[in-house]
Amino acid sequence: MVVKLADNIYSPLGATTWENYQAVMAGQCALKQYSLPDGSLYTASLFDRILENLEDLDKPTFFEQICIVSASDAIARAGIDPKSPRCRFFLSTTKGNVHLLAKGETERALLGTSANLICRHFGNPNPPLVVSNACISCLSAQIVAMRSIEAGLCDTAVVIGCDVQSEFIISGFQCLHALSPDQCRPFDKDRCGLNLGEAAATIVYAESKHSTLLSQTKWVAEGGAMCNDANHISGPSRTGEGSYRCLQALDINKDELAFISVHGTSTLYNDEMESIAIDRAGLADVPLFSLKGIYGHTMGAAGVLETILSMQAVEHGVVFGTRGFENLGVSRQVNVSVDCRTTNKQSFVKLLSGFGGCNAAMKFSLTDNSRLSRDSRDFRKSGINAIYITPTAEELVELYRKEVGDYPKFFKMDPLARLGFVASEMLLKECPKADYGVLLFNRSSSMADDMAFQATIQSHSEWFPSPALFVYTLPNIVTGEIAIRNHFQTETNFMVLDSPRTGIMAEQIALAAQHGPQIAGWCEVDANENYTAALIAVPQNTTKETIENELNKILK
Amino acid sequence: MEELILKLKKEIIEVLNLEDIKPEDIDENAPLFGGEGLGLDSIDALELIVLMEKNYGIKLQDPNQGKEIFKSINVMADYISKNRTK
Repeated sequence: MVVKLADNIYSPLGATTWENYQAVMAGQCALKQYSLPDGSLYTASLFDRILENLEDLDKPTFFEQICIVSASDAIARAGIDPKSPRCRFFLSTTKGNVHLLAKGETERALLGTSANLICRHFGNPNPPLVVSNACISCLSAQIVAMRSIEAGLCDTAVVIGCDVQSEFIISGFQCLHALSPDQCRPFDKDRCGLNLGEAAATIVYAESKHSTLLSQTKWVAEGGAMCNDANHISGPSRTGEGSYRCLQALDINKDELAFISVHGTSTLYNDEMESIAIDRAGLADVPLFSLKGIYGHTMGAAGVLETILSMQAVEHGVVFGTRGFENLGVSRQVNVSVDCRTTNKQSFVKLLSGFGGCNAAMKFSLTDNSRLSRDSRDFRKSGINAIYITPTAEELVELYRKEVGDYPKFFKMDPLARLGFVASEMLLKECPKADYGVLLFNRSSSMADDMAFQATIQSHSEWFPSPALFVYTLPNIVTGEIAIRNHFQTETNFMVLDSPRTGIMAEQIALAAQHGPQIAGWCEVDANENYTAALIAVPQNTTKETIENELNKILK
Repeated sequence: MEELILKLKKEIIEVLNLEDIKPEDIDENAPLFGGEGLGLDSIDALELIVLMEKNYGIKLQDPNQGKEIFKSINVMADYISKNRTK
């Protein structure tokens, strides 16, 4: 049983969870209007801070500082020893220090660099794992942390979610025409796009039997699910397929649910998709709310921030209202909470979806009576197919023509997606047909495409941010491309490490493989466009040892 | 107009990475989006909006305008010739 020990939210509305909860209940929000270099207006919830160009890169950046501040508070409240080898750190972020690309600081902008720095600050001896799975990162990270604890890989897990805003991110969403110039209106008929936000939020989990503070813990992470739409890399499924499947996968008794804390970004398509998924899952009458009208979309922090506030709400017997919502503007009659109301129920569901077609849901309960049996681990040895390629960009195109040839969308993909796509196509030729999950790792995230997008906004006088480049500035888009091609509608996830650590990769692949067969491995394109793909097809319930042996063989 | 149409075709092929397609393969009257013609999608439409601004100084505030303007190469070229500022 995985229990929450403590948490923290560090946002423009407050430095602790309690300050944030009070601010929400008092009807505050930090959304303000700003403008981009081309004069277009956007509304966001941002910290007041010294400009990033004053950052000393030998010290923690603003992004890293707020991660450290948030995690310090949560760790102190949890009373755990972050130096213990039995404690692990999970960092959920989509873009980390991406603003440093404007100064050509590619190495300092790597997600693994930030994660290592944060981990070192706390003296933790384990390599940190970065989960970068678009807007569901923070639920993916919690699910991964939960599984790691259940499998005995660690006793405590510190899950930090954080993103800060920059011209890079804001111009990207702007060129996708996804931003609302005014305060957003989730689920409303007049909604016209999202607001971005920034925050750091931390949640500390433990296996209950290892927790000396169990008497203080009240929250149980009961389960989590991730499912891909296998539909489109930026547009959500018109049938809510992935979110619906996530809700179906959770053990939900709707009479126990206080509410569903939805993604509710206030874009036309997201809110419509969620209403369809919730209706299809038979949960249309369960109250739902979105916190985006208060915090904006905090991206890599959203899953933890919104989970923590939802826990506060249940503890106080409250269902939050949805700031900005007035008139229902989705096709299904879902129960959008307009104003705060009371509840005496003790469970809730947190729902998120993101680019790359990914969706995630988790269920939490305020009880210490829940009993979760561990996943049965019926390990058996099986044959594992593998592929290792290190092509140049030109050789990769040749490989595509020779091995695939019938998928012109290949040419629209960024280098990372091209690499993962071709490698997976070659690998799958040798594999039995199945609904594979996709779990990929690398060091440089989506760096090659990030640099290409940065070039389109580098000059304010030649400001033409490219939507086609921006949609690939998330590393998990490659997993979405593989899912779309093969119609895989189960888990897709992307993690970043400082190097191909086969032990850590094998642990996570084995945990994912408990839920189904996986296409998994290392898929890296660095800032100099050096390509390396080392993928394996892992049958369900393959052991960590078998996977690590295979990875060691192909990655030498 | 013929010259603008050819230029536009080349620009679209380049900016949308339409590998293996030559200007003469594109029917000026065929729909750019959907199952027929070039089969472009929503991200391509947004990229065409950037192309219009970058190369012809035409700023479309509402992406829905694109639905009319990007019906075919001919419609697009006609709109550009009437509204271009560069």
